[in-house]
Amino acid sequence: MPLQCTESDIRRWRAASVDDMSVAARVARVRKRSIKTESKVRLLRLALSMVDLTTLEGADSPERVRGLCHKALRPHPPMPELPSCAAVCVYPTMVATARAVLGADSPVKLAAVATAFPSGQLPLALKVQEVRETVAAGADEIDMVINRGAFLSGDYARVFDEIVAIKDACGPAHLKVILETGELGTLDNVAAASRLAMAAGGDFIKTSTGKIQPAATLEVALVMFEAIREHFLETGVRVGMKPAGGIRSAKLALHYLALLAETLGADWMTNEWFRFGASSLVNDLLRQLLWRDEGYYQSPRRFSVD
Amino acid sequence: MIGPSQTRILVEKTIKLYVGGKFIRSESGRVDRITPTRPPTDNAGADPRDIYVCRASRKDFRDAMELARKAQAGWAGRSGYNRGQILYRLAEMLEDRAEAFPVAREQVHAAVDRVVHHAGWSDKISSLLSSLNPVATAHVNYSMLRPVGVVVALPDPADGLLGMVEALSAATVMGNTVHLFVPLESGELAAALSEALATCDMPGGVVNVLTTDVTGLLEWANHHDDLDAIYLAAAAIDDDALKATQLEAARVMRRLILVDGAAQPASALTLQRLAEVKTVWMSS
Repeated sequence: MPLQCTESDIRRWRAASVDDMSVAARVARVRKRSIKTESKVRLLRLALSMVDLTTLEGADSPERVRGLCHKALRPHPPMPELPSCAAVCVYPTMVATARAVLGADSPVKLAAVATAFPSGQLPLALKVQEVRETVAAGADEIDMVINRGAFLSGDYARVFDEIVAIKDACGPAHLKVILETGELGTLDNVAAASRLAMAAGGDFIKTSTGKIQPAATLEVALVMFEAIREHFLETGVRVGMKPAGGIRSAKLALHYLALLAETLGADWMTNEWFRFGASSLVNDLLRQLLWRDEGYYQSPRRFSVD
Repeated sequence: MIGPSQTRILVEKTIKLYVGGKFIRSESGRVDRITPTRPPTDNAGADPRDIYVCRASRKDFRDAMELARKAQAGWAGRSGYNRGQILYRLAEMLEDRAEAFPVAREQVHAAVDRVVHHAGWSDKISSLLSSLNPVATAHVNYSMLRPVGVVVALPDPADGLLGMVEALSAATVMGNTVHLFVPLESGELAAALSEALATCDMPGGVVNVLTTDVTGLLEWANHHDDLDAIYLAAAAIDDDALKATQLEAARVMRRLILVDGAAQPASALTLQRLAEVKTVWMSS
């Protein structure tokens, strides 16, 4: 018997009422925080270890994916002591290619987007099949998109059932549920979708596909962090969080980590429970780390392009 | 209403940095008090009041570097003719705003003439310095100019406005973007020049004007490896700073363009130092 949701669950998810002004005020405070010296270096390294190095382009080629995997394993070869990234994130067709480079027992996880990414507009049976094949090809983690059309038309039960079905198809693979907050319209909807996705069994909730603007914002992240905390206090189940899209600067990454520390605390500050979906972020993190290390502000030309 | 016996209170201008086409305060919030070089024109006879100039910090420079780098390709991608038009427009703006500069009119005129001089080079310098090279094989071999990239310019403070426009025109006419480091004492001059730059159709980020402690900020510029060249008037800094700049430049093979001053416009060969020479071999 698959997990089911009731009318009262849906009412509970929708009961959320987020105070936009308070969220904005709290985020504004975080934006003003400045993290310095040793703490900054620690956090930059932590952020590097939390990156899901991502390439999701129509033009992705096997060579590009191989390059990306090498970069995730060794972000900057002259500094082998740097941590590797948390994962690479690719399209399902590239999973086998990536697995061949990463190896069977890699410190870098292999994530794949599935379920008709980025629109999610396919019949459920096809989505389930896609997920099964992707996991069989070697993906450790599946990033699924929710059915926003159903969500926005109020058909929460369908969104819920789809997540449950995908979770089932994932088997041992971790499931990240992309809410695509840029299409949800309000923070209330973000909170409701977060609760729904966690109740349906998502191991992670993720802000965006990166294909829609606005992608991840600190405001949305705060609402999702609060939903995760609420879920943890109610059920004891820990859910991870992944902001994705538009996080390009180390400074912004540190703001996310500050917000994470303030809401969910130190327990979430590992790449097991928090990830950045990003690509160019890595080079900016390296740039800041090298500036600390060598006293020279590097040219972006010194780092590999993905 | 101001009564007949009351003196009007002057609305004073804060002198800001000009970065990325915007007038901004320093991120550090730091300002320096300077004494204006002349009394306010509509309040002649009144004592000159101190004015405040924003002091560009390391982070201001770092942010300006990003903007200059971003602007560089677009600026270099414009035709020489178009860059010349924009420089000529700068000359028009300077001429029109001569009153805004706290210096004698002749000095503004000299600066205007200098900008026009360099504007004229914009679509000719490349023909003058490019070449078809004789080679012994069956190839066509030619060399052409490409901008060196992002330049920091420290003109001689004694050259005043002329030094600033000489540096920025020489750098921009070759397709570079440039950060002009101006001593805080010359804040008023920098502000008037920035206002002309802001209204002359030059894209934001092509010229950034940073009022600052130039020797101090140069040290940070030396530590920024994305910087491609430094245009330096010998008298702008002391010998120690010059030596440090040369050493750091050698470390990353950064171009150092040492000039005597702005009395004469940059020769074609000095302009060439603001460019890279790209040579292409083609089978004939």
